Amino acid sequence: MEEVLGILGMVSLMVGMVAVSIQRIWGGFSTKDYFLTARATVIVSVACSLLFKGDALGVSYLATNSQTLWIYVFTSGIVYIWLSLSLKWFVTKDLPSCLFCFLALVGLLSCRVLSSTENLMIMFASLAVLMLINFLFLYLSQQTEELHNISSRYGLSALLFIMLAGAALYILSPAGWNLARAAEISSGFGLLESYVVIAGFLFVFIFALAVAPLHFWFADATAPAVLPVAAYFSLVPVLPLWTAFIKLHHQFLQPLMHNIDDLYILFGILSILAGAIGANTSRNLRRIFAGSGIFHFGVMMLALAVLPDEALFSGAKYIQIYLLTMTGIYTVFYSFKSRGDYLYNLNMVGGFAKVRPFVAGTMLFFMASLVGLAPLPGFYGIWSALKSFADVRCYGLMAAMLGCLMFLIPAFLQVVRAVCFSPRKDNFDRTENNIYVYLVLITAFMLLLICQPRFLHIL
Amino acid sequence: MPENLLLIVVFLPLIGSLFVAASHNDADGTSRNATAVSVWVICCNILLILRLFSSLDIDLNSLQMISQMSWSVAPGGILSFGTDVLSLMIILSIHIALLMGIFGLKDVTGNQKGILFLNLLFLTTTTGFFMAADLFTFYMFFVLMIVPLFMEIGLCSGAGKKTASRFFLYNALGTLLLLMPVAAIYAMQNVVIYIENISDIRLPDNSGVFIWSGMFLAFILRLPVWPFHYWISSVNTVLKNPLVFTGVNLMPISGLYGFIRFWPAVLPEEIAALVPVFEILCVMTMLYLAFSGYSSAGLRDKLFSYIFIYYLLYLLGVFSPTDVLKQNIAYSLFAFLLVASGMIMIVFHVDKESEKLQNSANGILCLQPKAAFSYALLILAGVGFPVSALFWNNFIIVSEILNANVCIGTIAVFTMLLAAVFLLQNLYDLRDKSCLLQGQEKIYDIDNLRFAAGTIVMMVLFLSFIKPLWFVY
Repeated sequence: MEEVLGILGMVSLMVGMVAVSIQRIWGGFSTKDYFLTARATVIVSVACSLLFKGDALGVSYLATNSQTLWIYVFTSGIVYIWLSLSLKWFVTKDLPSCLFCFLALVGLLSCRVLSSTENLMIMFASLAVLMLINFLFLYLSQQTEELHNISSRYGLSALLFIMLAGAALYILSPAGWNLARAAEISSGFGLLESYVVIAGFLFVFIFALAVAPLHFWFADATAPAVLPVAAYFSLVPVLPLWTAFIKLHHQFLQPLMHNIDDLYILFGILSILAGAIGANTSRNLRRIFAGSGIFHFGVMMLALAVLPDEALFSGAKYIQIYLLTMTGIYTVFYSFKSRGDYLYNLNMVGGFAKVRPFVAGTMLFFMASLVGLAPLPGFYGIWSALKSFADVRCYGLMAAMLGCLMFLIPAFLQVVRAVCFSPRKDNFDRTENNIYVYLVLITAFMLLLICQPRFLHIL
Repeated sequence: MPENLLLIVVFLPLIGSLFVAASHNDADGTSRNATAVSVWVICCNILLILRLFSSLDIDLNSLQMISQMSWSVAPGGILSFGTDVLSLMIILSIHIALLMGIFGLKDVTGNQKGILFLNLLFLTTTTGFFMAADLFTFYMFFVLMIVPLFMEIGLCSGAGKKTASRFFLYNALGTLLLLMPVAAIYAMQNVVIYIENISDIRLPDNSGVFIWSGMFLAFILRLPVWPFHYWISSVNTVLKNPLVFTGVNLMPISGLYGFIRFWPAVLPEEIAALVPVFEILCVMTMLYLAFSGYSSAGLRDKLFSYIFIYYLLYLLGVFSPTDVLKQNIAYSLFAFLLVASGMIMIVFHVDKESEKLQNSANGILCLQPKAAFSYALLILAGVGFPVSALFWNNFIIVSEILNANVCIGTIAVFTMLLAAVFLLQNLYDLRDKSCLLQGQEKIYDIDNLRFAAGTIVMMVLFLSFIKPLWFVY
């Protein structure tokens, strides 16, 4: 009975998908109705998950604990905000939103499964679904030749890495799909088989997480995509992916290959470099923040390389603070609007602070947190990472990280200059009330974290 | 009770800034409400600081009234604040300087409310910085103080928007350079490290150079020593707002204060061997500033040169191999900041009015008797005439520098003389009646408030000359 109740959260998501599909088949429902169904589904699912916690379908498949539950609640919160903010885009453009809402619910379900699964096959199935959703979002929202090419490139690359992961799963065989036993079984493999298994599992995650050298798709996809799709890439799947990767690293990759940390350091340094350089080479706001994202993912990789085993999951806090901040940033992006179109270039948002000082102020606050300004929440992550490097006397890593952070700052200064110091260039549309509500909530939550960082322990 | 007072002094401007943000502009676009809130907050804080002085044991050469705030991210779980004569003197002078900057805002148009809001934030962070008792709190406020000032510069610099970015980048580099040694120190000892006990930390052999080099570079980036001077000169040339100009010119004190707190106590030999090189860099920069001030025609350029020559003099005092100068530097810095901020207040007014003149600003003070009186007295005090605390304390500082190194000391004295010459020459030019042409537009004098502020500053300087801590009861 407990197992059945434990999956009620997931079942409610499936019911939500069916409800959206029925609405589509029956017809006569407006864009708002689809969004209402999707948001209601998210709330019901979270409520069920919180009320009926406990192992779902046994520990060997899906294990729910306080950590995975919190990750689901956190991700659902982001999905809820994202859906609320995206509604306006569909209403303005007068486009059908059924498929969008359906994919959003499928994405959330995949995230839930991905973060709580203990089975490699299920993990990669849900990862493949997430990649498929990414592709569909890009493919279905394509309005330009550029997006068409990007979606094709993304689809082909994702297919390649899924096939590689499939080969790894095939080598492991069903007996080795249980995460707890996978490392033990793999240790009996030959050198070639071991490398294929490690590469298969590692690279599919590196690609999905947008860690360098497989980061290229992230900035390319977020920059030209429509705002709801760009927001999805940047916010929704990030935390579940990192949680699953940390679990994979802790239980499988590290026991199998002890010097994998060196590889992480290489990927980490490449990412912080690529992120900082990428952010500085563009005037597209989303590309700048995608660069910042790649930088933070790089820091996360470096932290994974040096953190002791017992502190590995505390690395997820770093990503949670990053996501909280990015949710704030994307909420601000939803207010960069002129004549119904969302603005994405620095030239377009000149003088925004003069007409919307509160929104611009919150954006500054979020950006200050992203660059790790003490005592804002973003600083906790940078501080923890630096102390971890100092603990093992990796002063070179400290210098590399701070050096790249220094390179990232000019990109953010560009944004501040455009938003706060430039003369007003355009008339901005009225900022919707829900944007103010979410900004106040996110800012209040971050202020709460500053005053009472112990609150982080529940993250 | 004094411990709580310490926290009130730190956070009162922050609360004031919220009121400023909530205040309405007047119908004519001025920000009288915001100005009134700012002035009252600073005045209240000055009174509280004077109250703190009375609770201070002025003979004790260590941080007192240690007050702690719980914050779990900080190593040891607390943020500590404390104070001594040095830090309280600097805080008091910063408050008075910013107050005079606000008085100078009367001639300025633009987003005054935003500037006043940021100014109070800057005051909170600066006060927090000078009252920080542990290394982590020190670092936190060292970082925080650049943000409001960056925004202020950005809001006032107009077309020179890159100036603000340059300011931020230079200072952000300094904060990151400080973050590395701070993280390294806390990785070795995850407890509260009081800044006065920093010499007790036992560092592994190879870490010492790394840690102290990082700290040295972090502090030196805040000071206008060649080759790290570019940000400050470029910022000062574009600013036309006396309040922001005052704020920017207060920033180097954070670097100076860092050296005062950390420098004399502990130094690995590798770094100590480089001290003469830095001393030479300092005096070369002083020489350069003195000649550029002498050759420059602009009032603000001369003022900028004068201010930074004195900052570098204090830095040489810190580098000198003795700890006895700390108190003298505190007294001298207090008087110097009062003089400098008074001069900024008047110079910005004179500079603005001189734009109405067809030729140069020469002779303008003949039309501004109140400004002329205040400016003349401030220059006399500033160049070292024995009417203020600046005279005695600078005398002691210079004699210690001469005692340590005759060449360095001689060049320092020469640059001070040159600074005195160009300021007095400037005063003479501004009062040269023969340069005035007939038929000029009406030139306005400073208002009574600024005249009163200038006069009060002179009285404070004179009383400080008789007894440095005359206000302690």
